[in-house]
Amino acid sequence: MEEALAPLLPEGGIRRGTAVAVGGHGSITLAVALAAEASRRGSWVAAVGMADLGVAALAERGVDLDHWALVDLSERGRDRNIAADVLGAVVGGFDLVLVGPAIRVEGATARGLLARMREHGSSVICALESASADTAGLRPEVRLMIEQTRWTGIDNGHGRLLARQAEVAVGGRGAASRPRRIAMWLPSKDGRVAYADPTQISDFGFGRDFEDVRERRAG
Amino acid sequence: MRMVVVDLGDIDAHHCESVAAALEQFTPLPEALRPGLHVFGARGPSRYFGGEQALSELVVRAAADSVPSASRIGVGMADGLFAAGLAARVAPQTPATSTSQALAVEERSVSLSTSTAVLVVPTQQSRPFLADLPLTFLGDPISPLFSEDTTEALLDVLWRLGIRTLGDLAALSEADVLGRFGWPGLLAHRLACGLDDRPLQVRPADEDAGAEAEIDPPADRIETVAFMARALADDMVARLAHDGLDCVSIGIEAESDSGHASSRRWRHERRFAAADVVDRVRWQLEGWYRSPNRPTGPVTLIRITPWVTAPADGRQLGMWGATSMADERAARALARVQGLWGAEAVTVPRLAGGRRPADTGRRVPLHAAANANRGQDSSATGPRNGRKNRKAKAKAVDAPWLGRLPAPSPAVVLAQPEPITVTDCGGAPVTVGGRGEASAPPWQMTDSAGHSRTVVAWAGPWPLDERWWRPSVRRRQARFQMVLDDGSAHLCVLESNRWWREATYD
Repeated sequence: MEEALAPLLPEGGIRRGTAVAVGGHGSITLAVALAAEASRRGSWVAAVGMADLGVAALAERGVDLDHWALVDLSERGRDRNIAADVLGAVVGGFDLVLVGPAIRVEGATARGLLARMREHGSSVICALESASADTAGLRPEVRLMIEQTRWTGIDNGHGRLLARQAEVAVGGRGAASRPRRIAMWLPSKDGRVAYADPTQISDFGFGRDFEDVRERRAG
Repeated sequence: MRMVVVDLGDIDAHHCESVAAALEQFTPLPEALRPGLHVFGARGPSRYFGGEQALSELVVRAAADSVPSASRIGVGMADGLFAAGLAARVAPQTPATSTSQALAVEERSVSLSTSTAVLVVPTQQSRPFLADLPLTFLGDPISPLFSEDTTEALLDVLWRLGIRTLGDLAALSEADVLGRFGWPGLLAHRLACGLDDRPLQVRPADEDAGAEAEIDPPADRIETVAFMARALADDMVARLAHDGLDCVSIGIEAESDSGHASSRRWRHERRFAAADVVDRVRWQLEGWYRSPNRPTGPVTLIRITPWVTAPADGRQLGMWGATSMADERAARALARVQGLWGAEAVTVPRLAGGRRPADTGRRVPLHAAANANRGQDSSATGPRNGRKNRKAKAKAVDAPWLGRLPAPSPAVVLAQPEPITVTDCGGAPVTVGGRGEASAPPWQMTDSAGHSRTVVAWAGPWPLDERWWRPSVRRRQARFQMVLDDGSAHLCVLESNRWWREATYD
C-alpha cells in the first residue's frame, strides 16, 4: 500500500481475503489508486465489469499495465450466476480484484466467493454506484465513502480541471468501526492521490472535524 | 527429405483454404505455415506427376488458379524445408505465358498480373544453393529461428563479425559456432549447411494426431466428458512428444445428442500438458452450457485436434513473457474466464497515441498482447519488423499530441458516448461559433435519461480538428469540461451541433 494512502485503512493496507468498498464521486480514481501499488509490486490486478475504465488514467495513477487485466462483462454479466462464476475464477488467480458497480453478488454466492477469497488470500475492491449502495454481499471490512468533492482550477469559462479535494468517510467493521473523516487529494495538482493536510490548506473549508493524520502517524 | 514450398506472399487468410484444396490434388497432406506459405513432401508426387520440374510447374499453375489475386507465386523444391522455402523466395520470375506455350490458350483465365517462379534445387545441392544467399534469410518466416527472440541479436553479431552470406556461416566450424553462440547459433549453422531436419508437420486439421471419442451412453455431466477427454489428451500429448513436438494451440469440438455443437480453439503460451487440455474441455463445456447455443441433449462426441505444434525445445514462456507462480495462476484464471465468456472478454490495457480520451488508451485482446510480447505480432512479417513496429508505437505514445487535454485524465471513458443536451440560462442550446467561442455559458446539462443538473463550473471550448486533410474521416469537435452541482465532472463535446458526454472524471 502506498504510504500516502495508508491512513485510509485501519491496518495500513487491505487485509488479504477481505473486501473494501469505495463509493461516491471519485470512487474509481480512489479504487485504482489503492490497486496501483499492488500492481507495481508485481501482484496481478483484474478489473471486472469496468468496461469504461480510462486507460490513460490508469497510467497516471502509476499502474503497471503489464500486471493489469480487464474482464468485461457485457449485458449477460447482469446474470448473477455468470457474474459469480467469473468472479470466482478471477479471485482464484488474482491478488486483487476491482469489481465494477454493475456487478452485484449476494446471498449464498457471495458467501462462496468470500470463502474463495480467504482460501486464495485475494482481496476485492468494490466500486459502488453511489454512497448509499448496499454492500452487504461481500461484507466489506472497510467502507470508504467519498462524501464531498471540490474541483480546483476550473471556473466559469476559465482554467481547466486541475485537482480535486475530497472528504472520505472511513467506516466498517472491526478495526475500522470507529468512523473517521480524512481529507484527500483525488488527485492533486501533481497527479498524486494522497491525504491532504487540512492545516496546510487554508481554503479546504470542509469543517474542522478532520483527524490530523500527521499527528496520528507521528504518535 | 525433398520438400515443395509454395510461396504466395501475403494473402488473406480466407485464401488459405483454397490453396490447400488446390494442393490436395498433388498430396493428401498439404500443410500451411501461414496463409500464403504452404508445404508438402515431394517424393511421392514428383514420381507420379513426371518428375520434379514438371510437378513444380503443375503446382504453380494450380496455385495461380486458386488465388488469382496473388501478385507473385513462387514454388521451390529442395532438400529440407529451409532450402525449399528460400528457393521459392528467390526463384527467378518467369512470365506467366512462358511456363508452357502449349497450354497458353486455356490458361487465359490466369490473371496476367500474376508472375510465377519455379526453382528446383537438385538433390544434395542445397548447400551450394544457400551459400550465396544473404545471412538475413535466417530470420525469414520459413526459418525455425523466425519466432526466436534472440535471432535479431544473433544476426547482428554475425554481421559485425563480417559474415554476410549463409556460405560464410557454413564455412565456420560447427564446434566454434556452438561454443560462441550456443543453441541458436548451432541451429543457424545447420540451416546454412543445408541441414534442416525439421519433421514435416501435419496440416492443422489432421486427424492423425488428434483424437475423438464417442461417448456411449451420452453424458449429461461435464465430469463424465472430462474423464473421456483425459484419455484423449494423454494420448495426443504423448504422440506429439514422441515426435519432439509441443502443442501450442488445440481445437476442441463437442457434439450433442440434440445436434448442437461447440467448437473453440485454445492457445497455450507454453505447451499443453494433458491436464491443461482437460481443464480447457471442462471450461469450454461450462461456457457452452451457459450459452444461447447450449445443447438440449447429452454430449455424444468429444474431439481434440492439435492445431499448432512447435518443436519441443524446453523453453517455457509465461503469458506476458514472465514465469512465476503468480503469473501462472493468473493465466489459468483468465483462460477459465475466456471459457465461460469467450476469448474477447479479457483484454489488457495499453497506452496509445491520440488526442481524444478514447484514443489514448486501447484494450488489446489477451492473446494479441501475449503474441506481441513474443515478437510474433500477426501484422509483422518478421521479428525485425515486429520490433520496429513496437518501437514506432512507443514513439507515438510518447510524442506530444498537440490538442490532447492535460492530466488528470478521466477515469471513466465511455465506450459509447452518451447523447446529452446543454442549454444556457435561457434554455437555448449552447453552440460554438466559427471563432471558437461558446454562444453562451452552459447552464444546465440533461443526460439521456432526462435528468437535468446545473453546471457550476466549466472550461472550454477547446477545438479539436483531426485529419482535416481527408474530408471523409475528418472530425471537428469543441470540448468542454463541466462540473455539475452534484460534484461530478465530465468531458463533454459538441460535434456537428450535437452534444455528447465522452468521459467522466470519476
